[in-house]
Amino acid sequence: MSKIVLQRVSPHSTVQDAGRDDGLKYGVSASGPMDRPAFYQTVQLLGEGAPTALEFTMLGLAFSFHGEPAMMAAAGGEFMCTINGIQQSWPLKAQLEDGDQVDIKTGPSGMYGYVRFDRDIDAPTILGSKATNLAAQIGGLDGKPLSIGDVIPLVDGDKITTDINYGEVPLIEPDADIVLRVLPGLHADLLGKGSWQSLFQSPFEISASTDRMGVRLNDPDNRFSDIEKLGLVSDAVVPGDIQILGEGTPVILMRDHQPTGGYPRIATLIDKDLDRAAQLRPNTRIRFQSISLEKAQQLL
Amino acid sequence: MSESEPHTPPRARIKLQPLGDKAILVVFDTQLRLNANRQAIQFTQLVQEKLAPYIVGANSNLLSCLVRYNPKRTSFSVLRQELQMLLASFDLEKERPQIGTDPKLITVSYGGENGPDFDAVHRDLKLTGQDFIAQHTANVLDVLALGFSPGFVYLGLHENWQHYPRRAQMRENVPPGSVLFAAGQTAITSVPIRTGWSVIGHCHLNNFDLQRDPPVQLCPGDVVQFQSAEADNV
Repeated sequence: MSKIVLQRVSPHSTVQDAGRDDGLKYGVSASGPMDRPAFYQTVQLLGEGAPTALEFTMLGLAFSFHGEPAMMAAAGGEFMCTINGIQQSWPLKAQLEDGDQVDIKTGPSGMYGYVRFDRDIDAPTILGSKATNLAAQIGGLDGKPLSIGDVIPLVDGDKITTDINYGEVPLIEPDADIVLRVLPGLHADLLGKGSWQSLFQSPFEISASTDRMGVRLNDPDNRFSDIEKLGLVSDAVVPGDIQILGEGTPVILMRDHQPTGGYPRIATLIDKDLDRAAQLRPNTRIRFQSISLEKAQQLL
Repeated sequence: MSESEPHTPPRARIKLQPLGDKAILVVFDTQLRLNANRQAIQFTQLVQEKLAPYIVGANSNLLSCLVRYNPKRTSFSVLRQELQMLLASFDLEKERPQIGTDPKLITVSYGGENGPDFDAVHRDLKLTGQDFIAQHTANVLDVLALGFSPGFVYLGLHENWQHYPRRAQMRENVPPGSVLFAAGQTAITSVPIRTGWSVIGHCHLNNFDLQRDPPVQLCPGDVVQFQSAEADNV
């Protein structure tokens, strides 16, 4: 048996697997990794790996490893990693020995990174998944984010593989602004053509308020400040929905979104761009671009 | 909105709307009506039974059915066509009776420390506390939907109180078991939440108990009858 002991933890870091597809019927959204390509890149690096990984946020993760040797892979964004003080490449694959010290620190870009082992994280399966849902406070380690001093046993268990090559994930966009593609949201018609078109007129900015539930945007133009009160009946939410809060703040809803909501949703990010959106740091400028459903699905 | 007027043929009111690139929402109405809610619940059951090979999951909301799918396995146009065919065989004219038959009795302690908005609510409705409780416990209610937070159920309808507004101020950390009231509905929380609904009382239902399988006791379509905790002592 082996285990890791957490020594430094970035806020909102969690245990994640592919997600809880069945949770909706109990009022729980699926959760799962914020950056799926990076999450699966760690599987690709290992060849086969545990279905469950640690997701850490911008400030990284440090831990000590104890017990029988294990393989580890890490990926996502551009973080800096040392093992026993020796600089590693990123993403990376390494064999860990008893007593090894892994230190992942913030790098030039990225909000989420993943550490996966060839042995599984010992956490209970709740409603079919080990994924932590911070909003619902279930899954992972008692529904809580990772914290300093946590001892996480690594145990024999299922292994997963992937046949998708994630090596080509672009980290830096050629454009000055990041372009995120959207489809009309549930209430786009109700909000009117003017609101829809105003989405594209100028850039937004990622705000400092961004987590697994949602990414709030700053809007220098304040374009939704006088949006109509629609008195909507609460309805289904999907990841990527862009909802407009009462005072006009747009929020991109992410993996731990509430399953239903009553705020108007003007647009929905295409699935392909959701992971890129998750990795954007505060103050990044973004532009939205309209795309057809057919094209969005061809990108999957 | 002409599409929500009662005289519009029901079929014309139904919308199939893509929600992102991995879901279709079948919307039965835009205004809360019991019949549209029951349609959404029963259509969802039909989708689960008949379209299982095409979908990832189907879940009902207050007035809609969310159908999630994997576009790599099922194309949007095929799924839309399947849904349209299913809708064609789904009777939209008939008034649907309550789905559940065996009401779950829920005892509510109205007002007091755990129902801080109770007095404001019955005063706003120009009712004494006792009269409000009498009306609130009078009818067998539908479980309209489950969502928003784990185990959170929407119950209704209180037809006379459909226009009762949400509070201007949000309440933080409203505890599990709280009985909420707004817009002709009563809701029950199972985890702490932040809400703009009025908190009128407390009950002992825990509709999200991971020690149970399934963790929920109330699902959309079930029926509920409230009774006042005070009545026990009479």
